[in-house]
Amino acid sequence: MSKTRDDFNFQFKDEIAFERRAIESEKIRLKYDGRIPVIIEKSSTDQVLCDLEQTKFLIPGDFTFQQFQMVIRKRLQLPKTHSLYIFFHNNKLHANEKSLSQIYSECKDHDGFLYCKYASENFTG
Amino acid sequence: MIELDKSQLVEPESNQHFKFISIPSDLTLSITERRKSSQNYLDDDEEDVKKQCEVINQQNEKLSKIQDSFECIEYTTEPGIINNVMLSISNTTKFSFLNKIDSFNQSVVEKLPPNCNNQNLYQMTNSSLITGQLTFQSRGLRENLMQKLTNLRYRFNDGDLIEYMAYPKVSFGDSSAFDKTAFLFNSKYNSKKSFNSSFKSIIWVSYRNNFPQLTRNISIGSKNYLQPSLNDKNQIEQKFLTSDCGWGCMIRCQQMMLANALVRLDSSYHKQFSMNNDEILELFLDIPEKYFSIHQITEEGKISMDKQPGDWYGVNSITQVIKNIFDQKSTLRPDCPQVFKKISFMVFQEGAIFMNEIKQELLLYLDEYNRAKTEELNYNKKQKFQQHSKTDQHKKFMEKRKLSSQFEMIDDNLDDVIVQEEDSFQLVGIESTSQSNTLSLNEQFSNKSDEKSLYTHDSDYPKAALVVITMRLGLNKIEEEYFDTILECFSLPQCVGILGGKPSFALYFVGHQDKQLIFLDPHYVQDSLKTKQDLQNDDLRQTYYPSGQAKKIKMDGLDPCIGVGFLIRNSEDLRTFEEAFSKTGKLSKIATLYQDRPKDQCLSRKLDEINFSSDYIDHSLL
Repeated sequence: MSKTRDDFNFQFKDEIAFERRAIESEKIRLKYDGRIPVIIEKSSTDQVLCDLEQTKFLIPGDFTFQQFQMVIRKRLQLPKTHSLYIFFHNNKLHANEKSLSQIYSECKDHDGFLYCKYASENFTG
Repeated sequence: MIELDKSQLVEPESNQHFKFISIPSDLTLSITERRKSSQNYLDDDEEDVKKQCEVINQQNEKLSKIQDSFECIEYTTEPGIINNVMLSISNTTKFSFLNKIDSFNQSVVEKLPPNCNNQNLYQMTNSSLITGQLTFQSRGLRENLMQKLTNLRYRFNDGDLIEYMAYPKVSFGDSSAFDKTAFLFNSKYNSKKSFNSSFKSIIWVSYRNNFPQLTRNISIGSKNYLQPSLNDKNQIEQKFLTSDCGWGCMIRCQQMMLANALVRLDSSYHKQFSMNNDEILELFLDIPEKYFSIHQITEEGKISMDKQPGDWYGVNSITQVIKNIFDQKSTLRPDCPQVFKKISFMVFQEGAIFMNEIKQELLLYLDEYNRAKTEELNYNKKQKFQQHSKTDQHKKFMEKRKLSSQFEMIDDNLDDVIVQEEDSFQLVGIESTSQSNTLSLNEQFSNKSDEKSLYTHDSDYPKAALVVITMRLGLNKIEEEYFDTILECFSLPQCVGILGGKPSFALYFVGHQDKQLIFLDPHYVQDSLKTKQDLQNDDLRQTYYPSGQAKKIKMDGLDPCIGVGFLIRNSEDLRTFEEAFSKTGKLSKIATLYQDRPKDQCLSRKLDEINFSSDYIDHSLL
């Protein structure tokens, strides 16, 4: 029933070849010093949240994980009583005060982007 | 045995529903085969047994798929599927489980013609034979079937029918070295006897039927939060529900946690709290008047979570609803129900705990309690303190409460929140100093209203706090890394269990053995109890306690969303809780403890300054 890592697929990756992505991330990193190129898409299993209009973000590296969450929360206009969880490729939890550049160094993809999935809670009936 | 006419089975039309809804058409076949295998198992010699076991293992996968699909029958309107389900029921009852399944099935089976087909079954179920006199008198055929299947599944899981299919039992046998001990909450058990007696004293809340009806208005419900399968074109505008079978399991699990926390509160040395188990159970009866009945919960769910009765809840949404119920009912007025005077309910989502909010909540009542104590003392000494108006105090208290609840409802404008927060802090300060002016006699009491008093308070707090922390420990399943930490939760004496479950299958976890979680399963339909008198009846009362043996479940198939409950009754509880979630604590992996909710004034500014999307759109790849 529950797929695991296979679920960590991104439309972004499907649409653009690896070489192009790698070049592009390189360009961005050069042009915007200190910013992290982040690709965020909704988890395929999520039933609550809507899709983000914009899935590509350039986040300052000194942003904390929590600040990043706040950005996404605002974009989704999620009420306070609803949960938002963001997972990077290893599906681990991150401390709120961890900086994005730190997460980037731990979880970045070979193509130089930082990929993550967002989800709310599952309904268990 | 009865030949199954395969041509009767209708393939569910695809595309019309989500794939997990359809009942596989080979349901009956596999159950039949299974039955054969298990019969042979008893007769044949060992080599054959091995073969049989292989066959059974192969079928296990198929059957678990079938079990998963049971949950969704309620929402199926396609005749093909219902036909299949009815055939399944008729066949399963005929073949094997006759003497174990309750009277409903028995009487159906007795009355079935020898070679019954769909037509017969339809007639049967619609006729007075069945609707009038049997255990399940609920409204529709579909509800009936749903409830039957749910109970059938429960029995499968329970091992009542066929042992291979069941979840492993909690055992103390010598088959495995790990089996010797089991934990229920934080108590360790070495023998079956002592374990069972504790296990059977845990309150178990299950699905109920025949309760006063709930109205489901589908047109009102926001589509965002509905189960997708409910949005199909066949839905009706208004629906009346008299059973929570198929949708209430998360609610039931939350009721279990709450009930058991109340029992714990009672059994501790909390002298002022005098509620016995019956009075606690009474709060959960399925009638609209009771505070924690499914009626009140779904009513509050409509308001605060935009969910209609029949919608599914998640761990966080159900805890938010309960919190709202507590927030509304809890006052210091004398008519405040006993239970709300003695316990408060707090939720921390996304695994972030804010210690000061817990302390504030506990202090609020400690403060009041101390003041009352002071007042009492002063009353004896000075008559004028008699005039110290109680209503005034209540007014003040309500003001405080209002303010303190304000920082729960944080709006997007962060600056506002901070001002409010500081206000409420100041107010507490001002009040306690003004208190010390008027009641200078007892300075030590008024001084108590600071944080430290929480740690030095030597008896139980006047009002305990049930803190539920909701978290998601992985995208699609619980990551292995967190398994041990979840088990560690039970090592805390404050833990009152974990809400969780498999996907679409909520469970309440109460302990562990051999790295598997011991659970209570609400997926069993029983007749609802409606009056206090019902609870006097031992048999009826017993329906609120687990009947079968304790079962355990492996952690790798569980849903990643869980909610862990902790009951904080005194300073020791508070300290242990704080320590466990501190940076070096044993539970720090799954949740982080902060003193305050972040006051990110800088954050909001930063957000405005930076326009991410436009930055990037210019350099978009697409």
